[in-house]
Amino acid sequence: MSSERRIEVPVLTRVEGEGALYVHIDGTRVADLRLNIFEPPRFFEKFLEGRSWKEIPDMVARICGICPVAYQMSAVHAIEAAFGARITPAIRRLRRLYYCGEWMESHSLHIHLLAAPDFLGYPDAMALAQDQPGIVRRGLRLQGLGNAILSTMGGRSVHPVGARVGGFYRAPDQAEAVALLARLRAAAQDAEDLVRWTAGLKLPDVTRQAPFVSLRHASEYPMNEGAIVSSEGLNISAAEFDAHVMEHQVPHSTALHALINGKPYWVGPLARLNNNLTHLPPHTLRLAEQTGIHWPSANPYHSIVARALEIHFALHESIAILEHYTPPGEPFVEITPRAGAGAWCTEAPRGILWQRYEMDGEGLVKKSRIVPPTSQNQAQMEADLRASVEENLSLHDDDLRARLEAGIRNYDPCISCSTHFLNLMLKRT
Amino acid sequence: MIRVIGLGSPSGDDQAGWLAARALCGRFDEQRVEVSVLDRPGPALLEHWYKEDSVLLLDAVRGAGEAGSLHCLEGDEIARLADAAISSHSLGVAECVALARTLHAMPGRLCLLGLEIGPVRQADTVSSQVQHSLAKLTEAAYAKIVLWLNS
Repeated sequence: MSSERRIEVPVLTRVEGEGALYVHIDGTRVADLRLNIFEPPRFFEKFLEGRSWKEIPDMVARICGICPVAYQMSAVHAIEAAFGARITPAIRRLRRLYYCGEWMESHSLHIHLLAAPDFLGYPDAMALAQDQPGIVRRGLRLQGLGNAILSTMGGRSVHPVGARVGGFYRAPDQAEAVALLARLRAAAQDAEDLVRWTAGLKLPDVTRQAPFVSLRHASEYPMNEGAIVSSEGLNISAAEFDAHVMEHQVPHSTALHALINGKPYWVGPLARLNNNLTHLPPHTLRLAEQTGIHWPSANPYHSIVARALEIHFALHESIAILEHYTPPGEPFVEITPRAGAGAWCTEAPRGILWQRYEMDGEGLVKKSRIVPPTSQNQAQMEADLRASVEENLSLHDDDLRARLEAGIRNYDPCISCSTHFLNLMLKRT
Repeated sequence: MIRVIGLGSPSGDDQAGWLAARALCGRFDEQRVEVSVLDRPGPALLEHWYKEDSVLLLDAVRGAGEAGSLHCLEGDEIARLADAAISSHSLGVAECVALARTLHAMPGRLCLLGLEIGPVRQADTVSSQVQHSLAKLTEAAYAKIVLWLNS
């Protein structure tokens, strides 16, 4: 009998976008493993060239239906950095509220519709909903709350249009803020119960050593601001990102792989939580300690618990912002375009999202770069999958395939977002 | 309560459900018929009805006939179109209705009136073909509401 095995997952399900996995096992050795991304490249960076600074937030929001806020926030901050603009503390708090909505919405969907069925033995979310409707209803309530914040700040929850360079087109009035605050307060128990529920899931017990990379702010759990740090001592500004992160193309993927100082690294809620435990508010930190997980955790499957803890954090952060809210006089600062370059990084639900813009004196984009979290995670995902294969060689092919698919989904890859760049060689004769 | 929900987005023919819903505004007693529009609500659609409601969804649809043709689907017929391999990026109306059914959160009566649109095009306005067919969607919705009001 041949010792060669080939595991193929021709189409990954319950992930965002189109990808596949190919594994070649030779005896006890992984001869080849490729996370194939065949989602077409989208050339967004090229689309943005020549466009006015006023158009960019709405354009980048179109990159992703789940994390448009992240694309908008990295863009507006980077362009403000290029123009030397400074926002007010009130606008900063509104941006933080806006981001809280996205984390709640994205994390709730991932936990309940994508990841949880893997850990409970269900083929899909419908089967989970059939057996445990209360769990899914709770998830939808929390997701709906996130959407309510997005609609309040962005005008609508899908591809919101409320954000602009300098702030927002409109700030919520007092009545909207009071109504939202009441809904958030009423969901506090849901958020706490969700953390306890995820902590009770039977998760694979594995350890993966890779640098955790995230933002870190001097005094708060990071969303829109902070240095880019790693668990191995990296501490750089967004402007220095390019000098440390090397993107490279691999033949089997339309999304670039990224290495930091030559090594795969890990971004996302678990990396963020691991690097920012001291900035969790006391009640969220207490819940984290009660999960029984020894933080910081190097088990990627603890990401589902990290997501639940970030929902808890985001809900209470939103409450704290709205409790002291009064509508600002102007929801934006005036912007004066000038020639220059600016880079910024914010924390998308799936991890750090870096953008850089070169602007001309008219405020038109000369050049842009967007490095989304999923492409940053790809090299580490492949390393993780290799380790998973080696640890599970005794599994039958179907079980091994299911284990690997669950491992990919656990990272919450957004393949549609990640296919942001491809070297295009054009030969004319 | 009868809830009429126009579904869609601001893009081209995907506005069909919105336009039909707006054309129904003011034609019924607001205490008995509520008309609203939603922009790609995903699973949040389930928040917009109660079990005792009659819900009429108006939406643009594709793939089951010539542009301008009208489809009427009731309750479970909608859920049966759902794709089991749910992605949070593509939780459409059928998947949401299937989820509602699974969660025992279906309204008392549910009907989808879908107006077939042609190839997706990016535009601020609907195509002339869909514009000509909008009255058909609006009147079918009107007739359904009257039927429900009288039953």
